[in-house]
Amino acid sequence: MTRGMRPAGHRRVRLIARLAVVAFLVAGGLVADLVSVVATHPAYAHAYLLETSPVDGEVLASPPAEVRLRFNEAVSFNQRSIQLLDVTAKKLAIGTPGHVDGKANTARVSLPTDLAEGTYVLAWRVTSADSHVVSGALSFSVGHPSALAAPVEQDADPAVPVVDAVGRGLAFLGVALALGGALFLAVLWPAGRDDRRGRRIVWSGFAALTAGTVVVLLVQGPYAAGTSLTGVFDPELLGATLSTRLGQALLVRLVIVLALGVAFGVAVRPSPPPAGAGTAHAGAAGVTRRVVLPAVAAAGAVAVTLTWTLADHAQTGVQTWLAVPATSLHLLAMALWLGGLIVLAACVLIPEGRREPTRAVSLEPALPRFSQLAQICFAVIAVTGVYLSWRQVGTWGALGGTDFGRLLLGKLAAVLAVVGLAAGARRFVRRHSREHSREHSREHGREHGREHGREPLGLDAAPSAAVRRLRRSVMAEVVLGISVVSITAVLVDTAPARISYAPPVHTKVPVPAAADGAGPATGLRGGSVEVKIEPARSGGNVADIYLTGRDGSLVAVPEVSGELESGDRSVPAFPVKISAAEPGHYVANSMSIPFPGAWVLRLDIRVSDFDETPVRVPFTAR
Amino acid sequence: MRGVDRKASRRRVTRRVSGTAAGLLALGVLTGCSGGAPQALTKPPYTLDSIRSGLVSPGDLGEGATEFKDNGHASHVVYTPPNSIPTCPYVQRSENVEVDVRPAVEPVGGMPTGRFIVGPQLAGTSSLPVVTQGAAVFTSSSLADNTMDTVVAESAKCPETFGVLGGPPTVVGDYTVGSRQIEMEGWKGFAQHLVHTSPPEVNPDTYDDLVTVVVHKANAIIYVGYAQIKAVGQRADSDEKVKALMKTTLARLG
Repeated sequence: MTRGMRPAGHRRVRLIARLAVVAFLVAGGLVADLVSVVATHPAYAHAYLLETSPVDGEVLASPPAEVRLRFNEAVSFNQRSIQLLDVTAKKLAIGTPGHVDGKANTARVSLPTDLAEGTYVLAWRVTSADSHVVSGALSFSVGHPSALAAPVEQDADPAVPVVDAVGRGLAFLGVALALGGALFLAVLWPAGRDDRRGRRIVWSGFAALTAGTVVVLLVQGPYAAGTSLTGVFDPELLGATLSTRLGQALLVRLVIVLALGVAFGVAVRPSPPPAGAGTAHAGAAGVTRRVVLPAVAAAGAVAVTLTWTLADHAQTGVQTWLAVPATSLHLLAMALWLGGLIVLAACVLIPEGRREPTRAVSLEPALPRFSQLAQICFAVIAVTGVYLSWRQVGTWGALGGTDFGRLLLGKLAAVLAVVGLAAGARRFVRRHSREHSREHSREHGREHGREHGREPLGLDAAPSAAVRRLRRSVMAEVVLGISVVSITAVLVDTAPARISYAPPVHTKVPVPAAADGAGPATGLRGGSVEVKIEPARSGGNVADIYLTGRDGSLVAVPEVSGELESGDRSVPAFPVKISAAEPGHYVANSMSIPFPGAWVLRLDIRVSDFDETPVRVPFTAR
Repeated sequence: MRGVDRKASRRRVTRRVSGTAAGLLALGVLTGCSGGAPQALTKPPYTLDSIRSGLVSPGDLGEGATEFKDNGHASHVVYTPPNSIPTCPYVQRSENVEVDVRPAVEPVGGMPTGRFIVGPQLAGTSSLPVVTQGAAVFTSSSLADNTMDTVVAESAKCPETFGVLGGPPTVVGDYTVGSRQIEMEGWKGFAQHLVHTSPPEVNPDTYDDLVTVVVHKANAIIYVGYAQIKAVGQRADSDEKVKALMKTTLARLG
């Protein structure tokens, strides 16, 4: 009775412990979410334009000597990043772009002095600190404006981002096979060093990692310049890429991959036959294998993950000091798990199944060791994943409301399916492993075992049907793992939900006492100003302004005018054109918000022929 | 042995059932099966008959609504041809508009359905709105594109405010116009909101709340005017109501 109860009790305790962990993670996410809302200001991962000279739409008496752009963060660009177009969209010769006084968040370019009268468009395309390209255009006129005859096209060839995503995906898969596969062969599976198929898989991982890295390196130039794939071998574009943080990170990655490849080659090289104990050569080789190689491999594994995290989303936005190590750990854990899983499936489980009933390949000790490693990896992936999700998404609404959030939900669904399958595999290992068998033997059949005089056989004694199920489950895990990697490759190229999510602004501000004057607006006494702004992000917006009295009914006033004030005091206020709709409802149909951040819509409400009262409506634009 | 057979047979049955369930689930996902969404009755290219299913019917508006075809008599106060697409209603009555803007555009190369009015049986005794609508189908999508471009360009010229000084008391007063882009069920176009307030000495209590939605998809253009009379102090809500209504009617078109 007691024996029967104990496993059930253990399971309950384990279940409670797991639920507690999940609750902790969810609560952690919620607390972090609340803290972010209360204590932090919004941060934006992509660069955006703060200021230009000349300003957009300005009409100048004479041609400007140069154009200056100021961004919110450091940007990089090349010779083709800034272009000047005339009204027919013909490109005009301009100077070489550079930074203003060496400031990394600026760009300047000199213009020809003989610009004819008319309107010109300055198109820019620069690379943010997280390696994403942002672009825009401004127009100015010399003398008088003229109609633009052609639209400005800045989008890169659609094939470029696709090839870029494929390259990134290949690199992710490659790093998993190289790191996870190598660890599995060299450490977890004693027979692995001699397994040709396993070595081939790891070498193909190194090849995929190298190829993916080279593809991203070559494609980044055309991506940043907005050209087609024909520019991948353009030395000028390649040079420009190598001058950016991403280009340097990719180059360093290639060097590290080479070093890791050499280390793996040494690790799996057949050991020389013992030429006699105590020889100096054998001792040195042993030290190399036991100390130097693991140290090089560990340092290389950490360094190779940093080549991603020091040049992507982790590098920008909130808490970069935590985001960089968290993302590196996330990537490393994924690589060790997925790479190990693929080698386990290809070299241990599939041959083990095929060679039935002889079973030439043993599941012991590779499977239980990998199972333990996978558990640690999942724990790391879960903790860092929750944190990184919060960091990149920010709010619950952004999860369903953005491409990034939806992709993340898809990834989460795939990961949960993997966790479910992995839990099944873990149960198999626990049920059939030698340790468990020994324990079981001790508890239930000590006498019985002695009577029969044999040791439990462990995993290799598991029924064939159970092994077949395990094999199918692991193969499904592999497929899901690769799909997770594919989603991640797209995810890293997608603007984080925290910056792309723009919930509409809907706020109410009380009417100041100064508006309690006589005249047509008497009804405003004790009332409020209700403002709705959609989509509340940089670019064109619509603002609905309702003036409501104490009883909630709309109150008409002679006039409402407005201005948009930036939180950045160096940015001048922008006029907002407001027109009347029904009595008491005023609309700004084309309110343009130049860049994300904290803004104030300042409304001047004329309540009578002589009295006007200002109302300030603060809001955040994404 | 029997027990083993039974177990194996039960396992097979369970597998078959779960396989069938998974297959059905996958089929459901692939075919986009979901409850609640109205089923499309027709697909592009639209015909004069099929496009009618995308217009508002008395059943869509509610109890007490009726429908009749406007042969030109219903709009004699602000006359526009029954086969035209509205771009700036009432502007032709204004005396203080300086821009040259047409109140409606007659589609070239299109086959119009004519104008249909759905509203209460007796005006003034119901809370139902008055819906004035019609559509035009074209032999090609490019012809429809061109006409829609003309409609959008003409409506963009509609002044934000204008006044009507003379004429029947129902049209005299101030007009404010605002336009927003919309997209519903793959149909793209604009919703033009027009508010008409009468001079205080004529009618200080109510105002006209009219939203005209013009949308385009494939080879068809549909317009729906949704008009209500609201008390001064009340919020205009024709915009939300017509969008909700058209989400249902346009979903029938697929």
